[in-house]
Amino acid sequence: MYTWMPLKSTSDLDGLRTEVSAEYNPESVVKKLKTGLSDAVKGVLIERKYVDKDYRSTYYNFYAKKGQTYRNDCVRLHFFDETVSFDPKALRLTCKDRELKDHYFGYMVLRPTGIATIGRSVLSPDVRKDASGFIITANHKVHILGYKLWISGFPSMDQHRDISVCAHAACWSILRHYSENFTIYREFLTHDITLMTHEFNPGGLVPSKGLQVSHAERVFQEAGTFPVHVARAKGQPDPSFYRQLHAYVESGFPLFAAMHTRGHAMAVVGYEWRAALSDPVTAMRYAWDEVKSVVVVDDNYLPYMTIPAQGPGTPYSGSDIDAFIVALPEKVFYPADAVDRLAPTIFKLGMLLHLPAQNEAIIRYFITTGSALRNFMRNRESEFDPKLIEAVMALPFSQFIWVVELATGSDWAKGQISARAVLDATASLREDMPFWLLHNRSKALLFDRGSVGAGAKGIRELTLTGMEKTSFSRWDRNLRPTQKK
Amino acid sequence: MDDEKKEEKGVFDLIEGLTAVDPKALAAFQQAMIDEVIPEIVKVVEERRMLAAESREWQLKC
Repeated sequence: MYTWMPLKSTSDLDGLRTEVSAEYNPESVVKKLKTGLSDAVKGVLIERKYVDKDYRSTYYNFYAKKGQTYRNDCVRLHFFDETVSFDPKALRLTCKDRELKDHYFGYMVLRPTGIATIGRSVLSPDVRKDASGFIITANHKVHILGYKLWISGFPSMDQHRDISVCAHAACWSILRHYSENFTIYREFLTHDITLMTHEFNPGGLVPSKGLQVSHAERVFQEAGTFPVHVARAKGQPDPSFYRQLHAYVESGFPLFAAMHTRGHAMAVVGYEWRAALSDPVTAMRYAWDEVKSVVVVDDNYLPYMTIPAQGPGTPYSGSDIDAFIVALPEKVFYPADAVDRLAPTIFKLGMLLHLPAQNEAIIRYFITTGSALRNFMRNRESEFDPKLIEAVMALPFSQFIWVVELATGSDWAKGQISARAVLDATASLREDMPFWLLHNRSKALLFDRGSVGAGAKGIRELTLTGMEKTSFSRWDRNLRPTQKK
Repeated sequence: MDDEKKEEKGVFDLIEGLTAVDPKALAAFQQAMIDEVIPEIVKVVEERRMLAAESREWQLKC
């Protein structure tokens, strides 16, 4: 039931061709693995007769109804580094430091469907060739041979083709990430997703004929999220669309992204900064302008494919994305469009506290929670005046907040900022002061949102000291940095 | 009783060292928000809603 396959390099993955039977299409699997996995993977444990809940959901509702007989079990491949070995007699995995979880790179389920056999998979981005940058991940628990392991990654699978298409796979990936990462969301299996696209059970092969973007939106609504659907302007540049795309990803929300002309959908799960500023900052720009590439989970490839953020790319680039859906929690009322328009206006508060010159600034914005802000500052107490920390602990933030960071080119190069604004994500579109807080190194403005219409009376200044030379860090904590292995 | 008094305090009463803000210094920001930014936000959000409505029918099947 278990076979250990040591690898000198990924070329040895050819061994899977003989270890895995034809119904799992090892030819295609080996080709993908050899192309996409790094040589840090030095051992594969093949687990046969694996009962995969996602495959079973499609088996019970589709494959078992077909004239062709399909197996009801799967093969699962587990990937390890060079320190791990396997005792086939005792069925024991061993490594010198006994911390097996530190040497585990994730798993891939193979479905017995002949085509598109790569099922539920969670791989570490660290062993994905060419993956880099910051990636949205969750910790996934894995049980194997009595060991409980954890893998930090983003779920992926091939579309089934006959009962699911790319859009189903993208919805499934995002919702599985949600159920693993946020306790308020339940788990949805592959077949659940195909049912959630319609008000009724479409049955048969209807799902394979494709989805409309509205069906994906419906899936996220059915799952209990509050999807926001953003489409790019037609026939004209729309940089705000991409700034918002980036802002939501930075906030830790994977995006369901659609490419209209290709009729294709995938999940956007990360990004990578340019190594250095593209050129000196002489006009206001946004964080998106400093993004080199976008990381996607596309069901036609192994996860974490890196595509250029802008311009042409193979097989496509960020420029080909023309709509996205972000599955938000309920209490985010102030949309990214509003933040995008408001952010440049913050410079008009320069009479109250010093801000970088607008034409030399880089603006970055994202959503987080009030608790995360408190935690961020608590973990960086040395960067802040204790009075500011006290104020942040006392302010009655809404659950979700927008953070706007302003940086000069010089700040940006050092991973620092010049000022940070905290906006109320529950604010209404027509509010003229949707702030909780705005501060630089020497002064903070605090906004009392305890009463409506307080105007200037609801704003106080706080003089800050001791922050002149501290590191005033850009908040890069939401996503997992890739550590190439 | 003391707890009740604390409950009645505003957030600014809980933080030491705060000073009032000169309303004149806010004028430029508020004027820009009311005259330009809020109308633009409302317009942009409406435009996005229309674009989203059109894109809902796009077919995805690759």
